Order: sequence, then structure tokens, then C-alpha cells
Amino acid sequence: MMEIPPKLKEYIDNNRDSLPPLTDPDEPLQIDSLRVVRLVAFLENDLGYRIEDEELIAENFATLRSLGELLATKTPTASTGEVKPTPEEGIPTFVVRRKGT
Amino acid sequence: MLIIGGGPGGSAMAMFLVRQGIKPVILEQEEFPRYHIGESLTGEAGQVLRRLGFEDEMVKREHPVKHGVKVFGTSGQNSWYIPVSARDKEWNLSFSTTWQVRRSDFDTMMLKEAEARGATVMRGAATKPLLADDGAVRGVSVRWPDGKSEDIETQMVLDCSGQATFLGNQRVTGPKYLGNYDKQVAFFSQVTGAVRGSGTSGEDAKDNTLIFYAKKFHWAWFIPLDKDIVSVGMVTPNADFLAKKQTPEEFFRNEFYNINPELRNRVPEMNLVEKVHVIPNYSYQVRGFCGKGFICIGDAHRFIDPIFSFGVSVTTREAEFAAPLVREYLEGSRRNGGNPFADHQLFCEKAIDNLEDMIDMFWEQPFAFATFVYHRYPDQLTDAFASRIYPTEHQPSPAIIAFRKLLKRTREYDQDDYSVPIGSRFHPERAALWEPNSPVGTTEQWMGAR
Repeated sequence: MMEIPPKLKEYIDNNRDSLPPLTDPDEPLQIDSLRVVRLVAFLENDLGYRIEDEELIAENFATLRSLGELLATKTPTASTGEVKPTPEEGIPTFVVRRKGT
Repeated sequence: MLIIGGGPGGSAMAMFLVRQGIKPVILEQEEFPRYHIGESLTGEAGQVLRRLGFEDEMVKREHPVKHGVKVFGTSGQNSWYIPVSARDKEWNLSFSTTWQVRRSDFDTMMLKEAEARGATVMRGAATKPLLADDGAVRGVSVRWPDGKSEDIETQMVLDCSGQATFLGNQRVTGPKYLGNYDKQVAFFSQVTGAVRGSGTSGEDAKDNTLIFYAKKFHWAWFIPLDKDIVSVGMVTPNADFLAKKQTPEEFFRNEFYNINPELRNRVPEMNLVEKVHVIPNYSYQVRGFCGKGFICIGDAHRFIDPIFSFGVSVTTREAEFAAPLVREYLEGSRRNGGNPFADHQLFCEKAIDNLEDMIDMFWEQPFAFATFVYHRYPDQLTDAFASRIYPTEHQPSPAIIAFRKLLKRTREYDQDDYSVPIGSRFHPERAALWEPNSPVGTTEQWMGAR
């Protein structure tokens, strides 16, 4: 298993509601299914990983170990700096792009 | 010109025909207003109503304004929001709104307006098609409310009979195949005292549709119908209902809150103001749904799944697309021997194929689906949710193409009215249902015999 980038570990720990930080690589991440979707966005937008469509299955995002194994096959590229709205409660999560932007 | 069925499809068909200079007869067997399910409209259904000049009337009647759909995940703790969107002529995307409708009121408004604009509405039931020697539809036998029957000759029949699939069941069309979904049942009613969103627009707008996801084939809806009443319903596998041996109302009252924890917050008390209705939900597809002297519109040729509220949208959009073609046919064009409406048929089929791929993906691979909606293809999927699914609307989009890749599915179009559609390929045992000498007469008989 590869080393989990500290920023990723921090992101996951911050998204487990009131649960304590993960210590066991085989412990379920216990983040809500919709937050796993946000995790994919975080991996791609902020950490520069590309997750293939075929890899978008719950098993790959079940534990730190499975996530580490998925990322071990990948080389992150520099973040594109693409700004997307922060997905927070109460804010429409859809990017409605208009011409010229 | 005869339209079978006075629902939104039939009424929209009539109004679009009037714009083409054709004054049709609408044959409707029920006395309106009558109860009907299918209360939420997509963005493009709102646009059709605007094009038909209904915006002021919809506002005056205070139909709830839908800004989008909020979907609650399994835990009820998180949600995603799909805004209603519109495209302008340059295909710029913007937020838009549409409406929620109590169908008894809405359908009556549409039918009365169709009549006011020049259609003739007659109470009666179509019982059998009349065919010319070359197989063209030349009319229907009608049974009037007094029990008398009469043959009505017409240049064309527009089948807007909904799930009754009149021409499909009468085998005027090609075969009617069962689709991918047939084991679910929908239970639904209306409640007072439900807790809506607290805002005036966007994600928390008070009259948005709420969808509560539980697991595969288990979900609930919440659709405001007016300032007091909310339509609530749930879909579960039929086997769950049969196993409990309860009345539909008992089952609904007992199981509704098990779908999702957020439902307790949204529907604090089960104050039902309408009986609990039950509809077995099964998908089907009628092949060869256009031909000499006939076009089937909306549910009269295809139904997949109610989850994304496409019913009124698809039927009214198909009516709008079909109207100018009907005029051309009446004027004598489109008569070179083949299917006069083959282009329209393929156009509609491709659109619903896009929708089918989207719905299959939602059920089969919810995680990938959500990632696509939220992160990969938000714009393209707001288009699809708004029912911009037609080939003239940049479809299939990269999102739909990616869905097909994940579903390991290819779509081929060879103008063949009789090949087994994708939905039925999941259940090859059903494909023979409509073949010559099939021991089972109709899809409904087959459903009942199981």
C-alpha cells in the first residue's frame, strides 16, 4: 500500500462527521456515499489524480488501504488550478458555465 | 384527425395541431377532472408550456414553482441538488424553473384550453382500429357512454392513450417488448403538514421535488402540489409488499419511514388526504410506433421508470415534434410507400434510449452516476434532467456516451422495427412475447400470469 498523502488523510478525517481520525488502514472510511463523490472531486481537482470511470466503484473507496492501492497505480499531475465552487451545504453544487467563462 | 386520449399528450398534440391549421377531435373515455399520477415537470416541459402560452395561467393558478430536485443519500445527512436549467438558442446554460402540478387540475386545464383553441372533445372509448387494405390506420371503432358503438373514419390516429398503449395492444404497431424494470410497485398518496424547503429559490426553494434514495429499487418522492398538500410516494420491490400480506395503506404507512431517515423530518405525521394508490411499475417499448395513418406519442409507445419525472415532458415534446409532420402528411407528402414517419420514430427512439441509459446507470452504478452528475458532466446532465435528450440537443452527450461505456452497451440504429430492444435483452425470455404464435396474447396477460 502506498503512503496516503497527508492532505487526503486530513480530508477524509474531516468528512467523517464526529468520528475520530482513522488509524487502521482496513477500517471502513464511514463517509456518506454522497461525500465519497466529493472525495473523487477532491482527488482530481486538488491533488491532481485522474480516476478512471471504471474505477468509480464503492469498493475502491471503502478503506484507506483500498484507496491507497487505487492511487498507487497513478501519478498525480500538478493541480490545474481550475477553480470549482466549494461543495458546501446550501450552495448549488452544479457549475453552470456561461459562454466566455 | 383523431387523438386518442385527453391527457397532457393529447391536449398538447391538439394545440400544436391547431397551430398547424388542423382542428382535431380528442376522444377521452373518462370524465375530467380525474386523478392521475406524474405530478412533477422537467425544465423542458416548462418550456413547452411557455411556448403554448400557459405561463401566465400557471402563475395565476399558483402551481408550485420547482427550482430543482434535491436527492437525499441513504443516511439522510447529505444531499445533492439538480437545478432546473434552460438553454438559449446559442446553447448558453442558465438556471430556470418549471412547475409541480396536481394532474386532475392541470390535465383539465390543458384539455379545456385545447377545446377553446379549436379541438373537439368527445367522451368515448376507442375499442378497435380500422385498417385499410395496405395496413394504414383509417379510423377507430368507438364505444360511446350510452353503450352504442360507431366507426369513425379519420385521416390519421394519434395515439395519446398513455400506458393503455391502444395501438400497441391492438398490434397495429410492431411488437411491444418488456423493458428492464418490472418488479417494482409504487404506493402513493397526498399529505398535509409536510415540511418543505425554507427558501425562495435554488436548493432550498420551498416547492422543489425531494427524492429519498434508500437502495436499489427502493426510493421515495415528495412533490408539493399546492400550498397545503404534498404528493408522497414510495417505490419498493413487489416481493416486499407480497411478503408482508398487508393492505396497500397499511404497507405504505408502515414502510414509508423506513426508506430514509430524513422522511421523519419532512413528513412528521402521516395525514393522508387521498387514498393510497398502487401502481405496478413496469417498463415497455413498442416497436414500429409510427406508420401509415398513425403515430403513438409518449407513454403510448414507451415507458421506462418514473424516477426522474419525464412523463409529461416526453409526451408534450413528442407532440410538438409530431405536429408539423402530421400537417405534411395531410398535405400529401410523406407518401412514398414506406413508413411516413420513420424519421420521427428514430428521432424519438434515440432520445428515449439516451434516457434509458441514464436511468439504467442510476440504478446499476449509483456511485459512478452521482460522480458524473456532481463532478464529471454537471452541465450535460442538467441537460438530460431537463429532458433535453433529443438528437438536435447535442445528444448523446459525452456523459451518455460514458454511461454506455460503463454499461458495456452499444446502440445501433438500423431502422428495424422488430429487433429486441436493449431493455428486453436483460430478460431474453420475454423477447418472444410478441412473436408470431406466442402462447401469451399480451404483455398484460404475461404480467398477470406470473
